[in-house]
Amino acid sequence: MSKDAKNDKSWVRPRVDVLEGEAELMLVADMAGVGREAIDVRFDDGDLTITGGRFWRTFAMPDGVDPEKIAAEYTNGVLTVHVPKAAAKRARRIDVRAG
Amino acid sequence: MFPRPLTYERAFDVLDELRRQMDRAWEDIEDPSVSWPRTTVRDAGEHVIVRAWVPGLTEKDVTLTLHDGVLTIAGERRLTVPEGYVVRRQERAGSRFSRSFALPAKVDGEKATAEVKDGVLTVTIAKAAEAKPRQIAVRTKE
Repeated sequence: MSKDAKNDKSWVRPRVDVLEGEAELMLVADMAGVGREAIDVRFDDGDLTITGGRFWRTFAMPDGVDPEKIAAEYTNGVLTVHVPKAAAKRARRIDVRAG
Repeated sequence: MFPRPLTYERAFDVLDELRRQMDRAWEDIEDPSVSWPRTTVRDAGEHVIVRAWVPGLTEKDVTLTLHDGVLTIAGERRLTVPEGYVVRRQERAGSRFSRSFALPAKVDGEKATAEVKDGVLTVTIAKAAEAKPRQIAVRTKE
């Protein structure tokens, strides 16, 4: 699908929540009635794009995510995408040892 | 019909306006100010079919009541934030809901089925015998 086709407003932006945990970003999208096999999740040049049925939406991801380990699941019409942070970007707790 | 000759440009204006209206119709679908869940009621001949988009819910999260030709869909969608996570963006609605719809035909409540698949609730209710479409034989008068 070309970029121009995506500008056609017949696409519907799904409503999305974004949650951040210590090790990952989690995107949760309402995409009822699409079916798992019709869903496409891709990461390209820093953009995460989710497509399925009439739904389409792109998010610019922050630096420091690990695209190799992105995982997604579709349950009861809700798509959840897990975007892990690269190891170096994770907050770390540093043990303080007795001197 | 048109007060002056319809030029190409004006023809496109008309099309643009149509498209703008279509765009609005599409946008409304996911507009948070529109009642949740989005629901359609359709007269399908022998049945009335009510469909509601309820992402995240299953059969046990939805209660259906049919009374005096009015169907009520009620339930609650709870959005949970896992421990250790912070909400960075919140667009999805999570709340109790109850929506009622006057059905477009007299129905037989005993003959109703409901299922939820991929977050879409489909309720199929048979019409009462007298409300079903009937074919009328047309005979040639001798």
